[in-house]
Amino acid sequence: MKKNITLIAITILFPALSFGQVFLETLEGDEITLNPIGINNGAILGSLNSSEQSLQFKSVFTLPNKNGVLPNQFVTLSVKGKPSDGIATLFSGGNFNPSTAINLAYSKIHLFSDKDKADAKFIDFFTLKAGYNVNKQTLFKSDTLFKDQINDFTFEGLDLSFNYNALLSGKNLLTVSIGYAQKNNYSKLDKVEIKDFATITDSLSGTSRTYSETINGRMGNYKEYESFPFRIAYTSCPSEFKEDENKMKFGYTLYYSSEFGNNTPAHNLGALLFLTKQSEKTGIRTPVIGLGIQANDISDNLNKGNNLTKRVTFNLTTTFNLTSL
Amino acid sequence: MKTRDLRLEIKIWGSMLECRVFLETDEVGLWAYNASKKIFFKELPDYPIEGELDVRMFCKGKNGASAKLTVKIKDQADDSLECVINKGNSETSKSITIIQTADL
Repeated sequence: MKKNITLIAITILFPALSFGQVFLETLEGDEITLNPIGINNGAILGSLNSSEQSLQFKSVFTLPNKNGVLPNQFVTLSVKGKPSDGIATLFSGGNFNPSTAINLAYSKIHLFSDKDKADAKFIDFFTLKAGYNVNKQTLFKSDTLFKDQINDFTFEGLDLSFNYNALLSGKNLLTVSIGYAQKNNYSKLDKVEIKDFATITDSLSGTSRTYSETINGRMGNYKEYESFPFRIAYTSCPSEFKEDENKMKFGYTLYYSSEFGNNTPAHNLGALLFLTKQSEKTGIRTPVIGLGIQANDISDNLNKGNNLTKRVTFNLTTTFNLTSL
Repeated sequence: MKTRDLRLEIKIWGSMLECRVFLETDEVGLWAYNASKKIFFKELPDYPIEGELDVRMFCKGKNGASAKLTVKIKDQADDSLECVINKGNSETSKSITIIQTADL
């Protein structure tokens, strides 16, 4: 297996209004924790994930709350686009190869926590999410008829998830996420660059001209499967006291993630260290930059036969806010 | 029993998950938001008050987050309460004396 120095993303959304969100993503752009701490009006929030080279836009809407000052129910619509094989291959062989995912989520404060207990140190919130993704991909099969070797196809997948978060004593955020996803192993296959050469000979001058077309794709044992992703994470959230508003503070997350289902599960362990800055307008402390490390397939279930150190990846990301309302 | 026009305003600081306000034993809900001033507010015209106005507020969220509630009662100075979250929660309460206005 190639030595991977990739980046695990911390995607942090800076709040447009009074409240903050901290989103942490895996390499593949899956959110580790999804905790809309509160958005008062709809806000378009953008984020970049350097690893999967994606661009995501989120719009959050709040539902009215008969009890309480703050909204406690949210609907989030997000659209994510990325090239199927990286930015460099967005246009390949005359084709446009995007992958697009659209997600709709419903979030609510209080699942098990007692909303009426004023001195409770525990408050929780959850999100139900449904997503649909469309991916234009190219497979190369060298062991078949020449005309059938390059296969352009579209993979469509559905994914559902339940994300639960519990904030303990105002500092310790525990997250559990379970889901169902229709996936394929395209991103795990070997990258291949296919070049078709053609030669034209000019009968008058006798000059031969050779030109080529490059198509980027993948080759290997392609599979489609159903998976049940699972993640558990702990985040230490830095405090937001007003007297510290000019200070930058560190926070960190530790997580375990895996995918169960028909394929062999790979168990991943990760850690993210992020630096936070407090907004002087809202008081929300959000990460501005983060560094992550993930040990993939710690028990070598995928039997790559290589050292664990070769299955360690790093990631670095930041995010931006598109609107300020 | 007298009635007074009340206006409640709340300024939130930090990552607040929940903030609840009670006047006497009634909870105040369906707050509006003023985006330019970044405050939540609630108008309560002709609010019935007997004796003092008991106000209670509690909040939950990240440590350091705070909520400042300003109670504006017509014909008297504003009163305020503040919650600053520590160990995940904060609660405060106050009894506001209603200044009697001269009857015309």
